[in-house]
Amino acid sequence: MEILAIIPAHNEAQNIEAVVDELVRVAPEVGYVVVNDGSADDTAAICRRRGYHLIDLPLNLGLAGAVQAGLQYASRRGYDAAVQLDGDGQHDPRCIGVLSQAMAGQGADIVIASRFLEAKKGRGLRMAGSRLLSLLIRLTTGAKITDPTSGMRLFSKAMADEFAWNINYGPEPDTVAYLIRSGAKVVEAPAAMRPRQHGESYLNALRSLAYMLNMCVSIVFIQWFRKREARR
Amino acid sequence: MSIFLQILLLAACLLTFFFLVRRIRTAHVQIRDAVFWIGLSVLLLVVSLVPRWVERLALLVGVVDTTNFVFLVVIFILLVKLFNTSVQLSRLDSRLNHLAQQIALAAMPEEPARPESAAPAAFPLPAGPLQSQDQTSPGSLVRPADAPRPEGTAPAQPPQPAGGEG
Repeated sequence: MEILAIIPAHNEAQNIEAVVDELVRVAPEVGYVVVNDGSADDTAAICRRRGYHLIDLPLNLGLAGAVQAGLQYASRRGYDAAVQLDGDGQHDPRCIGVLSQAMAGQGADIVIASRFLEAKKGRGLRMAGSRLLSLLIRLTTGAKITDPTSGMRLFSKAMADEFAWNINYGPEPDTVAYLIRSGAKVVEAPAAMRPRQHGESYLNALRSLAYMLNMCVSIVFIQWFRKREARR
Repeated sequence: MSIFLQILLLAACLLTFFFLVRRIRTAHVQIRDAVFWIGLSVLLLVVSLVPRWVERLALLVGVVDTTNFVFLVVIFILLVKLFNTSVQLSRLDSRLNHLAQQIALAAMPEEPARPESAAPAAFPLPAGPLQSQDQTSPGSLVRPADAPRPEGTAPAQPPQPAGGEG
């Protein structure tokens, strides 16, 4: 199975080299592409200097747009699967093997790298948010997703194609819930994640709140009305 | 309906019309978007000049105060307009996304072909013809290679979009 790692990077000049170099070192069989999401810092320049595969977006599109660009690349180049690997170093590329085994073994469309299959969810606000999303997905789809907000997801070829060319396919829990309900097979595989290496997370308190509100409304209300039609 | 409201409506109507014509002259508004505002200013004109009709209509619907009726109608019209604008904005946003992605992908240096890469052919574009939307900037990013620019006279009268959208 040929896998493409999509590395969305927005102002990750401090992290990007470590992330790509680690990936190439520990998982050399995995292809990769860095998607520079209109960074204001040297992210793109560093990637060019190091000769990384780079999709250099002319505008800042946000995470969804950046990942989608990566999936378009995967779709166009005919990869068998694509995995999102954050540019801040919190995803461990050693987990990609586990994810692809889960995909092949269980015939899954999407494999989510879950922090909470083997470890318990902690306390704190962020975990409460995660619990709430898990509960909502459970109630609306019947599926048990322990780590809905995990950004590390492996998409099958068919899924990558679908994500690449449609709108409202952000790499977020609401899309996952919607796909489960419309028949996709989504499983989880255990993974450990690290805190981001350098810099600040995009999610501050206010954005997290807006994010949760968005996701809840989307999962509970909006996803029922969507019509799934493959573009290709 | 008070004479004051009549004058206010008349003023609103004239102002709308004035600004609209100015925008159209300087090519800041597409004709098909301007039609709505023309219609609205004509409506305001009618309401302010012949309030008798509006009063009759208000009584017919059961609204005692004509002023309230006028407000209600205008609010409804604006709500619909706002909703349409929001939808348009959404579509524009997703088109911009696709455009940026295509540009970035097209700008990638060619790599040695991957083995048996059964690459799907061309990029499908998001629904609708892309080039129809961009009218304000003459240096449109996406323009079919053989599509002629409007001769020298530049972007004052852009070609009307072909697709039945909006």
